[in-house]
Amino acid sequence: MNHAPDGVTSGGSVYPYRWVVIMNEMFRSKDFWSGALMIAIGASFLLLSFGYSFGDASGIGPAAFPAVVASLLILVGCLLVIRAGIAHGGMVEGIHWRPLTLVVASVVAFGILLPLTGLGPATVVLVLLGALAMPGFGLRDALLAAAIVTVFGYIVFVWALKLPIPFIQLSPGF
Amino acid sequence: MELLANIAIGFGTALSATNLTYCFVGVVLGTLIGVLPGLGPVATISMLLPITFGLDPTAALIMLAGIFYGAQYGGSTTAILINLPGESSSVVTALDGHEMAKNGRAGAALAAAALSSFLAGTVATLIIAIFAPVLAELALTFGAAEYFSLMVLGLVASVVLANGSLLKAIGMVLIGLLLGVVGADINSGVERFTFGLFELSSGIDFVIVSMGLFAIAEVVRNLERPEDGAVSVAKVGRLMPTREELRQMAMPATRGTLLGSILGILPGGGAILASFAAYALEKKISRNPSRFGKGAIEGVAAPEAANNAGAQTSFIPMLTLGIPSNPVMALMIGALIIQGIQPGPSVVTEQPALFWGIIVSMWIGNLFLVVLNLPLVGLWVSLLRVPYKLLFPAILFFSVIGVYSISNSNFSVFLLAIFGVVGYVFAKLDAEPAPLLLGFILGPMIEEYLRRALQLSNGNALVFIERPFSAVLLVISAILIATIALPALRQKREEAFQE
Repeated sequence: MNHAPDGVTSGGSVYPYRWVVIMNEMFRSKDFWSGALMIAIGASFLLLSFGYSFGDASGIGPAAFPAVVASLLILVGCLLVIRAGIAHGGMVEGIHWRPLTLVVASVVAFGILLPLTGLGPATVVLVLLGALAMPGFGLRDALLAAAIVTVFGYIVFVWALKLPIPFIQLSPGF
Repeated sequence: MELLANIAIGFGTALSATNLTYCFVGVVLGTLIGVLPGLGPVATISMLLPITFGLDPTAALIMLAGIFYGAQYGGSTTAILINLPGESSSVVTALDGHEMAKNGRAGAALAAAALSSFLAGTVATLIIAIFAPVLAELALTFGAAEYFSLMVLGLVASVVLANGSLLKAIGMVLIGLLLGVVGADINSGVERFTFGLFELSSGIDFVIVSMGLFAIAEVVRNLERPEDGAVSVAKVGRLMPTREELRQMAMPATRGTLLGSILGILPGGGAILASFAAYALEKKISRNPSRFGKGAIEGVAAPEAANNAGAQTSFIPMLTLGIPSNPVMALMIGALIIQGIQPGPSVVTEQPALFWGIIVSMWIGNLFLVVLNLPLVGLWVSLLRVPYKLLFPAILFFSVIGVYSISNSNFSVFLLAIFGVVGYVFAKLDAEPAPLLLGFILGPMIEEYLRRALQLSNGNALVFIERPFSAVLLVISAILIATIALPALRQKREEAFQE
């Protein structure tokens, strides 16, 4: 990698320019993406904070603290991006989409279903969707887990703790 | 002596039937989650926080505390028996502990861990009892400027002592500070960063942040890896260590206790750092360092003592100053706030039953734990057979229901999902979420003290340096930052973590 000639072809194969190689590595480094994320978050907060008043020294306004912190965050982000270009910070491993989307989906589904159908059905859906996130879970085990968690949830939250959440609602209530 | 009177108050509170029960429940739960990998004190306490709302504050804190230091005991069990530390503070214990197990001395290792932890717990309780009131009295003289500088020091220290990239940790603290600002500003009433959403007008609930970042993200991370097959567990064997072994572990346990007690108080310190440091210390001063890593009982006694002492003394800044030294303490502060108690130096004098009750119950909890962990070890071992298949749906369920019950709004659940994704992204980027949680909790407080200090000094920003104590705190912060910015010292720090 560090002996890639600058664009010279050799024996029919093309070696990329050194800077292309560096850029490639950079775009996959943890430092780069951490820095980029921080710059994005910092910039968003900073821009939003301009909508509030800054006040003066003896009575700082609502914008002062977040603006300063956001600026520092942008600075740290830039430092990280620079570091990504200089040194190896470790590469980001790929995102595993299946567990991520399914766990998120199960949580969101629960949030949607709870006021509509009550605790029981929402829990079942939560567990079943969550089970999909783990390859090799198996339908039988998933149903069993759903049953166990739902019953346990009923005992702890509805019977013992008396949470004001209906367990099963046949007609959607709001 | 006042100390005896206070301890008497403590026993009076801690020995009530309710508090004893909650203490027991707490340490059992703590051992349980310590044993189970994939579930830690932060996630568990987050999940239980909404439930504590209905409890008496003393009972709630006693139980949550029990979970925290109980987890230190439980983590060592799996570390020794199957080389799988249930808690990150038990990682070093696994080094020599598992070797001892392989040599048929698992029982002695377990006993060493439990006995050292008990010694540490007793000493730490005494330390808290002696120093906490002194510290609280000192803190009563603090003004806004001192509190501001103290919190800045706290955040800086937590970043310096944190594992991994310094820059990323600083960034995480800053992100946490920003997230803490979301909501209506107390002073001006302006709604900041809420996008007009009414649900955000009182800010993001920290339970959502902590559960999303720690519990949900952890679940996703764990699901990335295919589940390992059934692990073979070493046989326990004789439980009592030989007299020779007891002699060998006495001093390491003592050293571990002292080191752990000191490191536990420092923000960002706590159990994990304490156990690593204690192991490193023992290895350095040992007459025969090559024994380490091959089953040296000192390598079990010292870190176990340290992590228990560290876990308990980390309560001191929280109880006396209202400043969390680690995420668990941040959650404890949250629990107190839910109960309407503002943590700070006045808690010692205004709520003596609560304060001393918690301290004494920590010792009682340690007593429970020695009993639980030694004879009942077989029980915990069999729990390891609970497959993650059942565990993670339960974690998901507890998280969502806990979050929902905070304000009976499903908006919280959606927010939880968002933080779960955020937490996963952070984990992928090797960005530690703990500093973020600390920044999140301290953010509003820091801003408030900054504002107040500037108001009182009529806009004189130098007030932070003019007031002597505040200046000292800021100078220490600066020194801490300087020490790691310097490459030479930075290398030493990385080396220390590598070992």
